[in-house]
Amino acid sequence: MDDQIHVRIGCDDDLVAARAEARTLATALGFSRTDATLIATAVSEIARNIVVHVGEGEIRMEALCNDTRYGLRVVATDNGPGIRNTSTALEDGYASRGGLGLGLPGARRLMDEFEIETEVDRGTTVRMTKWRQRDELERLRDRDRRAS
Amino acid sequence: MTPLPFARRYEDGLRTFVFDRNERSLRTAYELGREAVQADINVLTIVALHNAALVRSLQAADSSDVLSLVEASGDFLLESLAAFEMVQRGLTDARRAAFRERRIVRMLRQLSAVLSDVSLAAGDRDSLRETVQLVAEHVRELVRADRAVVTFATTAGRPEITGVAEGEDVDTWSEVLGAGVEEMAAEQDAVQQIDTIRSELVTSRGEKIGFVEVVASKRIFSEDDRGLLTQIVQMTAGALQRDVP
Repeated sequence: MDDQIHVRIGCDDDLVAARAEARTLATALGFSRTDATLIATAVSEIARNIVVHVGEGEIRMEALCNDTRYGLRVVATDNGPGIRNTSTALEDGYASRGGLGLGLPGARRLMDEFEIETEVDRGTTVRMTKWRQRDELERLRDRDRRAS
Repeated sequence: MTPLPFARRYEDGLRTFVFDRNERSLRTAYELGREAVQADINVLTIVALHNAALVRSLQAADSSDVLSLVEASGDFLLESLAAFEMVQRGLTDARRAAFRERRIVRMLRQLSAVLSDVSLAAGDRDSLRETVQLVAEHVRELVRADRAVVTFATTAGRPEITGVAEGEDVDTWSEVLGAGVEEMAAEQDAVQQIDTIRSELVTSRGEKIGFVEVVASKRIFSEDDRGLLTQIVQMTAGALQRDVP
């Protein structure tokens, strides 16, 4: 689970591949069915953002692990026009004009960590992570595995 | 070509998924959920559509497949409700912000009434002491500090008046509505950090007559907190300068 997963985003159909990879990784990391769905949804929202506003980009996903938590990190990058005002872009309804809380603000609310780095005319990188606590049994198994 | 009605597309999507589970069909469920949100189709309607579509799918199925079809239909429903979850979280954040704003306005009004009290102008030390203490308590609560100190020194030779308010950061609005996304992230990052802001009380003539200091031990003050503090410091300096000869 150490390797990064790369999914190229160039058209609407690529959302399916990105969602499938996110769900598979989430399930492998022991996320619940509900959380795996939320992760797949957040990935869909940022992938859709790339397709609609930029045209193409890439989504990378990786597993994280520390003493207490497992995490799934998603990094979406594009070389598009960038976002002139990130706080406005994170306001509900900025892109959709509907104020419904979908898109970037929606993805942000589904994940535990979310940050955007953007440069006008250079592109945008969105990093988001979902965590889950490791239970005692998992930690003991891990310790045994390392010891043996 | 006119698109098929939503109910028909939901049923087609569900039927396709339960007989051939794949991510493409789940994506359809997610898109249908998104569309439902945008078209103001509510959750109850989705559940009713789902139930009706499931019953029809089961009628067409082999009885030995029932359990796995029902299980698969749950995945489809979950996916179609994901967009509603996003909206729900957004509404919670909006309610939380509105609740907080109302509370801030109420407290600022209260503070403003106290600061405009005529007894302050009369140089009544007890009244000044009470006011300085009240400012400290309001500041602490408004910016969610663990400690707030307000010090007011009038003219040379007169002792300073200091108000101190201490207590654990109790975020009433988070207790009621749960922490917002940004605050949760900021608080996770800030655990173990101590953040302090000190702001001078300055009269309209530019004289320094004291300061307000707030300390948080488990969070970093937000831009909103800093803005609020500036506003309170200006109000307080404006009121207390009446006691400065």
